[in-house]
Amino acid sequence: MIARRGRKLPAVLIAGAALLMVMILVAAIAPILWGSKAAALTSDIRLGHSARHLLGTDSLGRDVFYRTLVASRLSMLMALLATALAVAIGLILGAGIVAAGRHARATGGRVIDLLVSYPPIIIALAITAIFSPSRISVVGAIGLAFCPQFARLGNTLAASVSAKDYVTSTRFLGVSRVRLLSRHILPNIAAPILVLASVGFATSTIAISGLSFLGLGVQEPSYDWGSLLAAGLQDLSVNPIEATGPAIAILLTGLGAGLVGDGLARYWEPRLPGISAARAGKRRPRPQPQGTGSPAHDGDNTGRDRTVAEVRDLRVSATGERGGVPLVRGVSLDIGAGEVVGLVGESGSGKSLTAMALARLLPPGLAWSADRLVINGMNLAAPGSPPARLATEVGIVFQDPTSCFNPALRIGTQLTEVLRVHKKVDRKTAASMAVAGLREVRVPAPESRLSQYPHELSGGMRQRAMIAMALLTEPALLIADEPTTALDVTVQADVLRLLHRINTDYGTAILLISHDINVVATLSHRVCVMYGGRVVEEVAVEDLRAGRVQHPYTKALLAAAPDRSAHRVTNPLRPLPGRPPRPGQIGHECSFASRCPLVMAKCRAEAPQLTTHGSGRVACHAVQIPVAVGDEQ
Amino acid sequence: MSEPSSQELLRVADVTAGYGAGSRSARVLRGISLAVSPGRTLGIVGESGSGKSTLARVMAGQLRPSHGAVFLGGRDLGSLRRQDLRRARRQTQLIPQDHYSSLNPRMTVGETLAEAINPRRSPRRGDRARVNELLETVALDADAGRRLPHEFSGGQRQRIAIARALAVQPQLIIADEITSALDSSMQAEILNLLLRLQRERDLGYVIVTHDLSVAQYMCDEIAVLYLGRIAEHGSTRLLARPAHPYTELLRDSIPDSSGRMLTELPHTVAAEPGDAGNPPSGCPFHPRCPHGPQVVTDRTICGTSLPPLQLAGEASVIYAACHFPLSRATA
Amino acid sequence: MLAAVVLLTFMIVRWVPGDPARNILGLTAGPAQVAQVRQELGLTNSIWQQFGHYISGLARGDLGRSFVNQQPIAQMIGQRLSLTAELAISALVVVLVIGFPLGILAGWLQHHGRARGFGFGVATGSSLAGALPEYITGTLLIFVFALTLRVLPVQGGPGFTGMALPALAVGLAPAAVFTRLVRNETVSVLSQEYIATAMSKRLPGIRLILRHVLPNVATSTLTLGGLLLVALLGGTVITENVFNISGLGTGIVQAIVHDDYPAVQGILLVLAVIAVVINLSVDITLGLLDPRVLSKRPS
Repeated sequence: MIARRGRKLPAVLIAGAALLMVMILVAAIAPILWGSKAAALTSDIRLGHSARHLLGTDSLGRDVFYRTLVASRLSMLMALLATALAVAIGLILGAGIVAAGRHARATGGRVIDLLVSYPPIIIALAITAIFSPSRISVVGAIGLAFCPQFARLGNTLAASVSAKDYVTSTRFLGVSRVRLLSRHILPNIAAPILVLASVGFATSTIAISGLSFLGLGVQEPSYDWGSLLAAGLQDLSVNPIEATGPAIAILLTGLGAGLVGDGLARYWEPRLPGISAARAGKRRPRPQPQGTGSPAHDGDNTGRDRTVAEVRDLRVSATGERGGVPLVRGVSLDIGAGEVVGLVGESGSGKSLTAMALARLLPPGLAWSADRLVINGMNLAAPGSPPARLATEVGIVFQDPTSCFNPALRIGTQLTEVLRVHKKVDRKTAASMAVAGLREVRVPAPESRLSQYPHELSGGMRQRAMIAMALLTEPALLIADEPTTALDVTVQADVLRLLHRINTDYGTAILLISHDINVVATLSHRVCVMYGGRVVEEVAVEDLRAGRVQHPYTKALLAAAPDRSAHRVTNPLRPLPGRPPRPGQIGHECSFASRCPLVMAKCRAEAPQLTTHGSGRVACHAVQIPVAVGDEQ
Repeated sequence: MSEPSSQELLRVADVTAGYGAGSRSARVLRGISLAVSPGRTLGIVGESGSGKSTLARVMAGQLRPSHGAVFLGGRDLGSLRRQDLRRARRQTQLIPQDHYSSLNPRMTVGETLAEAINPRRSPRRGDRARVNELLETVALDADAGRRLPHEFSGGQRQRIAIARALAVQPQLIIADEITSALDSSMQAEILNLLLRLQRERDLGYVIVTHDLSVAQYMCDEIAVLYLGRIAEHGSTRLLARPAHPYTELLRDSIPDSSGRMLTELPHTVAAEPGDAGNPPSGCPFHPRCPHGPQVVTDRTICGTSLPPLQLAGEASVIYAACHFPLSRATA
Repeated sequence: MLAAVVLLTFMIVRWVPGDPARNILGLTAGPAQVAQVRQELGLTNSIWQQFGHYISGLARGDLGRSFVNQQPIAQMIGQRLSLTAELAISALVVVLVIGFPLGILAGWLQHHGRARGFGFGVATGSSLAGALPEYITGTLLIFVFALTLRVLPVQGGPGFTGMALPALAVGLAPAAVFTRLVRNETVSVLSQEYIATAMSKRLPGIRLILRHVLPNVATSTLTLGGLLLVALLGGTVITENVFNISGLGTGIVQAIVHDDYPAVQGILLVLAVIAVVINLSVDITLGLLDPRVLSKRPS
């Protein structure tokens, strides 16, 4: 139920589980096998390591090694009981509160918060003070002491889960509270609870041993690791080896349980992006220039007036466990000075990666290469880090205005940073430039914005501030990655108008990426359509608007997007059958073959190349009418 | 407005609703009156802050309005006892916006659907036939019932959510932004599916969306919300000839390939929409209105007096809350 | 909250089975003597009277007298508190000084997929160290530094030499946990979009870390740091007994062993108050540091 198919168990989990298994085995059989040896009193008092007594003897001549082994059962059993107690009571209370009424939730939450903030050991001491120290009282004490943590976790998790839509809608269906708890809330919080429980087992072992160590836990004649350790500490100056036995036992148990908890956490929770890349990637992302184009002619200005960006055969692949999965497969395009080029495609088509690769901003874990990548005279395909000039000549506008500003820094700081670091502009001048920039993009009250934090601005204003930040250095190229997707319709229109004005007034070239073909068609001079990591068509916007497109995918895109002419009866929308392919599924065939209405045998064998067709370019076998009549399939 | 009739599936009458209590309350909706009949589709159009999701929840019976009444099948929800309330709620199903969190990740699709069919007891063998029937309705294979939600794509999950809503056999379905996270092809599939189901079962729909094109495609009747109030309400034709300046702004903001949208509008339009809990005085749209007091300075009434919802269209029946509704000449 | 703590502490101690008067006098004392001592100790009054007496005493700062040696509790706590506080704060310093730099470094390396050996070492090391209970660490430290190398004293006390080993004993395991926490937070921050924005500005690496990463890591980890301080308080209890420091930890253990209820009560109360105060301070500091919490304007 909780297992994810096809994922390996992490090594830590296996190691920890193995360790614990050994300890449990010892705990089970030791008292039977070695009970008498452990209790045997000898006259060899306080001896160090020897062949007969591996870990020495204590003040009564008893063999420490065997005593440690025999003590395992009591120690581990107590820890298990205490953990079970803590989990059971804590979880039921914490999760149950959420399923109860509103008042219970509020007061219950407060009580739990109060209890959690109190150190567990002190709660345990208090309980031990009430009931005289013994095996039972220490189990109860530790169990109850860790209850609040589980109650809090159970509460938080249950609350977050019950806020989900599926719980709300099930509640309104009239499902009983018990069923709600058992089928909907508990299964969805089981994973983190189990992780905490394994950590809790480790902590309980340590805490119980700690109390025994203080003399407040297990009492004579019973003994556990803690009391053994206390005896060892007393003889530490005389016979230090006495303390090692119990110490190692406690450590191993704690370690085993901790590893199990860590392993479970890694197995169930989604990986942090950095971890999988770091663990799996063998190659660091480094460009591999191949062949054509003169190497590293930085400062080559001859192309500057005509093309701002030149890309030839750009490839990006993931360096994952499955080996280089290609995500962008040989994209070539040009962006002229003052031109707006739109890049449109569904999610997974590789359009964002293309843009990020252009800006040399690919996240770690991706490898890329290009025959040629020149932006404004800078050769970006050369090895090593790109020139700092890149920051001032290329501006980037990201998709989500909420998360692209650092929440801990003021707007003014973030806006002026590039100017101050790269162009050595002093603070006052930079500030006034920032204010002017904000005014340009029509952010109201620009002076006051500099000292504000990102969360104080609305989404539309943040996006405009982002654009202002990108424009402050007067870049030759602006890369806008889905700049309007997260915005309201009217705000989106505003931002598009703004971009249009920037392009017409300042001649800034723009690479506009979007999944919405209408957005792209509104603003661009030329549109590139991407599918499955390749450019399948390049067309002038006038042709796009008139519907004069060649590639079946482009045609389908236009037919599927609702616009004014669509009508549910007379002119219904025509969706594309099937789904876009996953990056790993595409081989040598045309990536669109499985959904294409014009598919031929050749399409399944060989991917078409992008060739000139009319005023644009198309990559499609069906469209590329062969010149010679004899070439037919 | 007229008395609620039992023919109607849903009617909200002068509803005001919000969140919080006492000093921290925020009124998100004010004075909303709308109705839906079987086989008809009502569109609720608005941007963020318009209160449309709140209205969806009020209509589904999930949120109690602080003022006004909600009638389901002619019966006032506020006056019903718990059992009747539950039954009434089952007549209306809300398909929420977020299709990730609308399905229990640890229950198979089949179990989720079975639970929706019979909430009071655990699934039995006989339910499987009905579950498969439901899956087929939304064009999913029968073995989808054995899989968990995370194994499906976004569009498929959306269809499962629709199946779940249908399992309850409602008469009215409220769909809250169910296509905004999908790409255009998936969106087209879902919309066509909904249309087909409506034709087959005479369902009533409320489509909540910010996308005017979707509203035009799906709906018979449209209500445009702005900051919690109805700005304009009437047949879908109002989109072609809006009477309210906000509707006009919405329509002109849609990027269509003509690029017409790029024409500059008066500077007032760049102003941010206000806060629904603390709206501007008078007409809530007046600080941004391209025909309002910011531009035509003697229209001061817009800033002082809240315009009532009144008949504004000439050919068709359209209500607009505007002191100076757009006439045919300016549309 | 405080009121609940007071009430709870009082009730807990009163529930203890057994007779304190008899404990003091021993098993051989006669019933009349026991009754007299009970009266002296105020145990014959009704529970409400006892509570009222207790509260009024609290208001005056009088926590009663120890059953064992008749010394005023407040005075005893005052003497012991300074040592416990010194230990707890020293341990916190250990945690922060180790945790932050190591954690951020490990996080940076992990995110960029470099120096995997180092990263692995930190992960394993912190797992191992984090599993060490403070009494084992303490015992080990005593053995190595005090008995073998003889550079530091066996018995703890005020001042650097006296506190060095105990602070390490208390702080080592939490430092390991904190390092892991900081590392995870750093990795999480580095994958945020605003770091991508910052990277597009091609800033020098140091500036990136100090200006963009650190503030965001700090706010989330400091909350936990504050809670860590409360947990460290718990750790000091046991460690004081290892190093024989006359703090609240040894105080409460002795009090429990001798059934000295007023002492137990008093120390529990003081510890609870400290815990509450620390939590409050953390909340306030977090509010000051995180601009989002400060401004209530909607985004």
